[in-house]
Amino acid sequence: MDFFMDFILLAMTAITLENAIFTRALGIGKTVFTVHRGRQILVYGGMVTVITMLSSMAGYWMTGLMTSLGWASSYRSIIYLVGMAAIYAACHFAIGLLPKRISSRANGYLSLATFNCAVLGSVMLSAMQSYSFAQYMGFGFGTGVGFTAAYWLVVEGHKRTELSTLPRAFRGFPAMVLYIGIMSLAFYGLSGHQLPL
Amino acid sequence: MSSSTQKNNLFHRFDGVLWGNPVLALGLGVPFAVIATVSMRSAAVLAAAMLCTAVPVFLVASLCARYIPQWLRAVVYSLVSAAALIPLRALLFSLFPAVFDTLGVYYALMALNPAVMIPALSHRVTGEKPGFALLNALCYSLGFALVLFGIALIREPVGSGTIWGHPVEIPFQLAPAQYPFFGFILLGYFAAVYQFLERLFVLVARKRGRFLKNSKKSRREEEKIPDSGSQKEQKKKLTWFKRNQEEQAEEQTGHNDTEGITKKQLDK
Repeated sequence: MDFFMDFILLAMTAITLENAIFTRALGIGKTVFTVHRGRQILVYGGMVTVITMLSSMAGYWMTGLMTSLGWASSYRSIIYLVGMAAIYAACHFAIGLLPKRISSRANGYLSLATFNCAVLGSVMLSAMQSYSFAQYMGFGFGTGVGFTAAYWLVVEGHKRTELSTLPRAFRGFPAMVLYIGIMSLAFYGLSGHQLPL
Repeated sequence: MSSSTQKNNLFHRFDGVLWGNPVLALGLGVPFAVIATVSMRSAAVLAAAMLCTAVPVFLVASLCARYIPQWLRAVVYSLVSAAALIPLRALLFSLFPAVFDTLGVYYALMALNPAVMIPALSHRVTGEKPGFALLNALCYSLGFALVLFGIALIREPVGSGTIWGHPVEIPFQLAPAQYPFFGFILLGYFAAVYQFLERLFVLVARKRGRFLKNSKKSRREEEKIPDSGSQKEQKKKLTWFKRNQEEQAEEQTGHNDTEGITKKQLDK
């Protein structure tokens, strides 16, 4: 029961108050212009969620190992990246077993979904906060789901801003960033405090 | 800089500083430009981190990319980048110890900076000569640093009333300038100004006829090379030309008599 409650609590926190895109600006950029259709977003977001959860599991184990060995925190990022690389390789080979029409598309998103600031950021934030295993998993799941939902909102907002009459200087990337800023302001109104970096 | 014509163009050689800026033009490195630019010192640390990651990653990409399978390149570049950050952290911690508390996880996230990873994985750097790859790394780092310093120069005095940690007198202060939404809005305006200036530059350069001087289109216009078109279009042109010649001959002789006209005259 405690596992389930910790999982749900951290997942909801990661989706709303500590949203990867609107609160921490992780994983967003001009990929919005390439991954912009509904199914693409679902596949991309789903992969980010799965990779984040697997990375969180590996991250929990690696943090415990580094703490027991007394390694400095400056080596954390490279150790987590080694873990993420192993997960990436395993996913790459697993996707290769699927039919070619699925694997060719999925492999295109895999590197984007794995080597993403949101994934590494989730693992590092969990390590900083010294979470339990349930909290690691919940934060990882919430980061992935929150990232997908926020990404969808950004894409939809971008489509609507492109249809409106904007000054030429603001079309495209500037309008998208301003839209994210206004959404971030709304999330700031929800949380109302400075989050740990 | 993928084509040889662009390499010869001095303007494109410094792609990444202003033209093709990684943050404002390519939309890369947004997290660092938005969250970590609350002070000039944070911007300086991230700019140094960008330089120290871009140089080894771009050199590895230019020298070794052909030996690394495509699916494995992102792994290699991210590990090289993370390894380069470790000694830099030790050096910068001695200079700016308090900055790492402000930066939090964003210093470590520079290992996956899209402004380094995406150009390294694309054709921009892969297969380039090491000299050009090094120049690319320096240009991208300078462009990244310019944007970060520009945003920090506004956020730090407005948010905390200091510049580089030294207090300054500002007529107004906005504590929310330290929050992410202010960074997003500021970056949006910076990108809009950049797009405006870029468009203005292109319009002025086109009027002067100097834009894309070495491009295929401008060379063709200079040498007046006719557009060859497809074979079908060539046949249509030839048919029309022959018909035109026959009509002219008919007008001159008063009757349709093309037998007297030689093939050479027709070809002329």
